[in-house]
Amino acid sequence: MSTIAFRTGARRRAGKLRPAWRQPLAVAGIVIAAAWLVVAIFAPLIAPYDPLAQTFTPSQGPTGAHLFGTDELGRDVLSRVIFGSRVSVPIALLLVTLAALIGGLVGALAGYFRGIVDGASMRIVDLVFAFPPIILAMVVAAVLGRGLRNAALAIVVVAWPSYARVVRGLVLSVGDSEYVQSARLLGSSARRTLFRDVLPNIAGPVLVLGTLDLANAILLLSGLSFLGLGAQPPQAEWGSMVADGAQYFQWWWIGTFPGLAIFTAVLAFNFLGDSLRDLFDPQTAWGGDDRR
Amino acid sequence: MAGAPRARRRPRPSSSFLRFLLRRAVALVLLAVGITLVVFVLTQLVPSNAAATNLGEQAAADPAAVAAFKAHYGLDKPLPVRYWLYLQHLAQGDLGQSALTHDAVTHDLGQFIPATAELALYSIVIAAFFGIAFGVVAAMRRNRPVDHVLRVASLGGISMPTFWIALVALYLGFFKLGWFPGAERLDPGVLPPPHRTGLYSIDALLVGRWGLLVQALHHLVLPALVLAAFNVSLLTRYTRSAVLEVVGNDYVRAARAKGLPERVVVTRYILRAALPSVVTVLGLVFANVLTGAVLVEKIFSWPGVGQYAYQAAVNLDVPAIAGVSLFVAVVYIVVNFTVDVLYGVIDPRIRVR
Amino acid sequence: MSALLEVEGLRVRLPTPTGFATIVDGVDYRVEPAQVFGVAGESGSGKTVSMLALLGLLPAGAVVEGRAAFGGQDLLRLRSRELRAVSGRDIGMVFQDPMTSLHPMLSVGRQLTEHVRRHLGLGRHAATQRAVELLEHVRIPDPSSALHAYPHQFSGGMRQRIAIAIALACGPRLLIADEPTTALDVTVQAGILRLLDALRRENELSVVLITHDLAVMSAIADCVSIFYAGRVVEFGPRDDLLQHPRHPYTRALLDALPHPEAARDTPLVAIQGTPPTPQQIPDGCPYHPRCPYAIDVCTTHDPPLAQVDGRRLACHVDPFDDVE
Repeated sequence: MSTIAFRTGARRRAGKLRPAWRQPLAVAGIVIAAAWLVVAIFAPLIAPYDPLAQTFTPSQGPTGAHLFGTDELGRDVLSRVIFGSRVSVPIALLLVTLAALIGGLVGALAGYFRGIVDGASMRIVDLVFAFPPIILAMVVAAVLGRGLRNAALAIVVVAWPSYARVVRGLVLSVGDSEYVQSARLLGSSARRTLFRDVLPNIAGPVLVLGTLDLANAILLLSGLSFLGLGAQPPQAEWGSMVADGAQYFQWWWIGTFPGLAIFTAVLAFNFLGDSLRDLFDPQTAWGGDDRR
Repeated sequence: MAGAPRARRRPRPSSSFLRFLLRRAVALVLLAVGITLVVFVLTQLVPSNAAATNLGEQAAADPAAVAAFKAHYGLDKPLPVRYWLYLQHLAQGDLGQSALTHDAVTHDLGQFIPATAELALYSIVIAAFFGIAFGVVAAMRRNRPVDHVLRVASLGGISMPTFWIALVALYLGFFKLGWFPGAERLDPGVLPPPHRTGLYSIDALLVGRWGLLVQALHHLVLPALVLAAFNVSLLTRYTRSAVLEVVGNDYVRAARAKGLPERVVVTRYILRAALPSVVTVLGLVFANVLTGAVLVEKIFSWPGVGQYAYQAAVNLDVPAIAGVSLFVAVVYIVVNFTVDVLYGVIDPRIRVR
Repeated sequence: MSALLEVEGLRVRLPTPTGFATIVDGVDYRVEPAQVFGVAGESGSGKTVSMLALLGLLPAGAVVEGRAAFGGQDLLRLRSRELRAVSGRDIGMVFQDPMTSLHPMLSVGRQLTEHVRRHLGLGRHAATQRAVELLEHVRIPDPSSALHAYPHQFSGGMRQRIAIAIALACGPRLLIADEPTTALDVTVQAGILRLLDALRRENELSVVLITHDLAVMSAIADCVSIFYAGRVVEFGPRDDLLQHPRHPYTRALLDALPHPEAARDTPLVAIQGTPPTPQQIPDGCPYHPRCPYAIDVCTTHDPPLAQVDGRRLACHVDPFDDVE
């Protein structure tokens, strides 16, 4: 889904970890992500009302009692946004992890064994990449039926190839590197090589890709829900809430606040991912070392 | 020795580049075939009763009619045969009949594609212009305030859900300020210009209907801007990286040492060297446009392929799903192939031995 | 005869994350017309930076002091537009690595003519003619086809010749060559040096030849200045300086060159220690921590570059004075 440029080399030298105050974005990202995590965990305690309760005056703007207003069915928007955090972020996290594992495994096998395994898996990767993500996700979701779980599965299908490509490239380049070859010559077993030399070099870029992918996954998941293919009513999910808002856009609060929630969550992970990427590629880093 | 320089002999495109292009073309064809297979398999997986949807309720209750229907469409034959039939139909340009509109899918596509094409065209042009410009500015003013502002802004730009931006734009631009229309490609009741390309703005331009041109553009502003938002941010980031990789190179310093004005150094030396990296991301930009189109078209009631795809998916209109997926995927790989060709055009190291 | 280029008190400070670093600390020299002026020193000695300062090619935020008189103007006081009129036209520059100093996507002809057309106002046809002549001058075979070719199609030596042609395209009086042979094979180096020598003679050209390789220096330089820690420590006519070095650093540099006729087991001589970084320049003479002849005053007073017997020397001790 997201693309990432990576430098090959035996041991990628990570840039020096700069002190926290020099990296405001990374700090902001961690803070925001942590905040949402807290909100998600303690949702029942934080939310003022039941997210599904349609007991309030419908379509009221933000007031003291309802900070985010109420929607067309009389539900408190704030509570729904809070409970929405339990849906989008954790599920996105889960599916990115799954995609990374599947893709990473395929990529590693392709890079390690090369030959037919490599050829076949990369052809499949090409096939998946040939479809713009949302189209494929829509079709898969339609095939599997509506619902959050199927939407998540659809996204996993779309997401794993990126990891396969990245990991394969890394495995190939590391395997070719003189560092690994000399380690092998010195008698290091294949397994040791894998753990000591290959994995640490892969971890970094995969982590960066994963973080940025998480941001995209949240967008795609909420996008599918927006289209009605993901979370189903009456579940409080940010994307479908924005869809409600689109229908009744004169009551701007119904769609704006959930969208804002998506925005901040995605922003947090993009900040993090960007800072992580700077760590591994200081040359083009924002705010990085510009001495050449 | 006086006289004109000897007859020029331009370096021939290297045979290795041509072979590379050939290989890519073959891969493209193979990929297209693979796509048909994937699409076909997907359509077989969709749980739908084609007979019922196509024949109408009464006929569907009649076993003879259903059997005839199945025989006609080869639905009673084994899978590989059905795939072969499917390919045959494809070769003839027959994508089947949409269960929703009851028109040929190719006809539907012909109607809806130009709308999306027009939207995509303007949004890509806007995104490319601003994205590349911002990226260059950010790179040339590295670590200065402008750079930091652009960093945060571009990160923000790729974090905002397209459907949300569309909603906000619709609310502000249409509902609150009333500056822009909120739906469709033209005002209600207005007839489109005579069909040349299907892109209303171009068609209106071609026949000199200025009022119509303005109206079409007026309707395009909000959706095109919304669609461009994500890509502007993406291009800013990629262009910035690409320019930074290049800007420290000796040839930039050498260009300055030759006394060339800064404007020339930036465009002819820096930007051109950074262009290959930027071109790489064009494929991604295009994918984003298609993705965004689905969402934007829904909110702005834009009669394009995105809407068509969405309706097809939601209503399990199998032929339409298949047709759209096929079309979109093929266009996508053609775009990627074009990008490969562009590489050769831009960078002589690839093209010339 | 008045000097072509006269530099006085050149001082360059560059911004670093920890404040400014003085890269060039008070450099004076004169380049005469039709002279090969050698600038020698290790990496980090400030030799390249001092030249970049003349053409305004330093990174943003650099602070430059001093005076550089060239053609009746002070290069360091020129506004960028005026400097651009001089750069590439009256002063040409050749960089170290021709693989990276030529733009990979522009044709050789383009890179040869673009500044010529700007500076000399030539039309396309005339500029192309001139480009062909230039390529002939630097001994590139088949110049007319070469115009349409791209840098990557040429070998390293030929690329450097093209770079030299580009630098000389507008007929400058001064050519700054920054390590022109360092990136090339040894066998190719001689060709380039011979070319530079011939061009200098044919065109009344002065060449500032920057290199860390004293062998290259001894091939074509008329006079040599030795840079250390951002200043000149010795300067004199080539033969005189290289055969009778008087500054301990110069002596050590020469001693470090492996001698082809030395006995097999003669150990390689290295200079103890490393050159100081700009942030860590010691008080007094910057070389004193590594100098076997240092005395007390060397640790407290920076020796000025003084005229001594037909050369200039910055040393309190002058230990080789009586050695002939």
